[in-house]
Amino acid sequence: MKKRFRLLFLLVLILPSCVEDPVTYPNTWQGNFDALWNTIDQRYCYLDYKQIKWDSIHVVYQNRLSSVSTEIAFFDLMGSMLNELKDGHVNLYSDFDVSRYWKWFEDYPSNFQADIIYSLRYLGSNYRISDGIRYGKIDGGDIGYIYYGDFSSAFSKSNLKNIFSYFSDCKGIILDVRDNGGGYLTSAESLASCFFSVRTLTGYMVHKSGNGHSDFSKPIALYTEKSDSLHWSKPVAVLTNRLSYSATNSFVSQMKYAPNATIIGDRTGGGGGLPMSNELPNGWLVRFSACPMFDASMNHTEWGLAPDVKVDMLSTDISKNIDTIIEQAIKTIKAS
Amino acid sequence: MYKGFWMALGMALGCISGVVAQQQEDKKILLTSVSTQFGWSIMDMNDAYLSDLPYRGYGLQFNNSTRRFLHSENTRLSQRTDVVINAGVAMNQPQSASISYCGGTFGYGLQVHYHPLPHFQVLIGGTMDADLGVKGYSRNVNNAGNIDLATNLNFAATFRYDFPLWKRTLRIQADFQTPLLGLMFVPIRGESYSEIYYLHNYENLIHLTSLHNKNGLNARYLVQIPLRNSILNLGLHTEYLKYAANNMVFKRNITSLQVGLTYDLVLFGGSKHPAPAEFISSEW
Repeated sequence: MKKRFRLLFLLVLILPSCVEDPVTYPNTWQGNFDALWNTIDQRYCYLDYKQIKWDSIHVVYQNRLSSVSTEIAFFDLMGSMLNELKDGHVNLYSDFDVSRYWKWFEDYPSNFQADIIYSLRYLGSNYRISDGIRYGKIDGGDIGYIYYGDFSSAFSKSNLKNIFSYFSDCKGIILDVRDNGGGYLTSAESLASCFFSVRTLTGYMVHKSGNGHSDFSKPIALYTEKSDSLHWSKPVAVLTNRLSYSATNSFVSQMKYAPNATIIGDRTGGGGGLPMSNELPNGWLVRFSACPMFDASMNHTEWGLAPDVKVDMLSTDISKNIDTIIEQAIKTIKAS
Repeated sequence: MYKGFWMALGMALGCISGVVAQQQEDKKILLTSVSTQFGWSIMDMNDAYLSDLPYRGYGLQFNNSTRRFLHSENTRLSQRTDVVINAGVAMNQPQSASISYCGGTFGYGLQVHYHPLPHFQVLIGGTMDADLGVKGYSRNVNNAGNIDLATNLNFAATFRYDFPLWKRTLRIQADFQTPLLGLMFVPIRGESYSEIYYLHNYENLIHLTSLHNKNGLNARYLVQIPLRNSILNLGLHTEYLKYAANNMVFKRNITSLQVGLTYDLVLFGGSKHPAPAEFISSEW
């Protein structure tokens, strides 16, 4: 009996040591630096795809760490290290600043001017608003024009039903998602589904399955469902620019497979990785791309999607309050 | 009025514990002893799905357990049920984010009673439990919360020592449970719950647990002071739990100071006297 009790006591002492404790870092500049570097090293999904030498970056920024003397300088150093990822989904949040990488649109033509779409030639001032969607008839009532600038701005099927009904006598619609920086993926899927007559494979997604740069799960197929109650079967032109990003990128990726859709404008900005977050010991939050998304041919969408018809806004048109991309969309719809 | 109040309270607690208060077998009646405690807790949590930082906070604990001999002819084997409910809020050390937690453990088990020494009892056996918890994370980037879901087979040991005092007998009790085998749900790091729901991706969500990936020790220390119709419990409940899956390590340590009562439900039926000989309690 005594032996049994001794064995039991020993067992209770030994058991808690089987699972290793989570790795923790001290709340020092070095500790926060290590926590950030390791988070990206183990959980960022594009290190291999973008051929980023993250070990070398560690050496470079570790050397610079010794010259940092203020909290802001430390934040800027960490932000600069993150900018090596060239990813608009990567940010560092502190109480006093947010680091960001914006070159994915800053280095390109904007291809969008809001004042032009609200000029008399297009929406004018008497356009209609249905939740986050602004819409009206253009080109003498032949074309329906929708501007949707934020996939975080909700809409319902009832909104879309009324809009499609309003455009029922039009030859087609223009769906303008330029300067739409993203939002909810579910909204993107919901809107895209209105343009599909059958359930269609439109992409894949994978998840990190380990800490290695190429440790990913099996691809999960992403289908765009057909909408049961809403279907737009006439031509649709989707207008894009570099600021069509993240969930908008996903929307455009799906619309590439819609039967009557044409993507017109500039290449989208990308943002094909679903962002996740982690915290550093000092409480700063790092957001990063965690799960890469692909099109139906397993091509990455991180660097954006090329349009079917590449059009840039011409300065001569801009001076006359003409949107070159909308004009091309009108021509494309009328020709189809 | 006084009796009526206690009777109503007893009936309500009986409903919570969900046990039949007494059962007549061979002219002997098995009593169900109920222990109900409330406590104030300190919670320490690590949830790598939400954040790598440890979180610490405070909460409340409700604890209800019952015990009854399985058969009136065999007073060596008792069955027990345990309900532990925790709720609280924890913050990270820089106070920049919080995790709200609400969870419960619901268990049933059997234990064999040994009397190796006078006044000393050892109860050895096993329990099975279901563990369900919900965490809400204040800093949401596609991971607004996490769910703890597990079922365990536990080794359970209870030690009781009775100090005979002048008129009453003081009891010191220590109860330990440790998970040996089970199943648990752990999402893939980076996969949101909406993806699980919409994409029906159930791969690597359910994990077999054993000592290699889940360690825990659920310890409850009680000093039991007999009162007229019940027993006053003053206790400390510590729950230590650590598990790993999908390249993540999770921890949940809860320490709770508790106060409560242990009573045989029949005594709340109106009697102020000790149970007659045909009533058998697994407590005394």
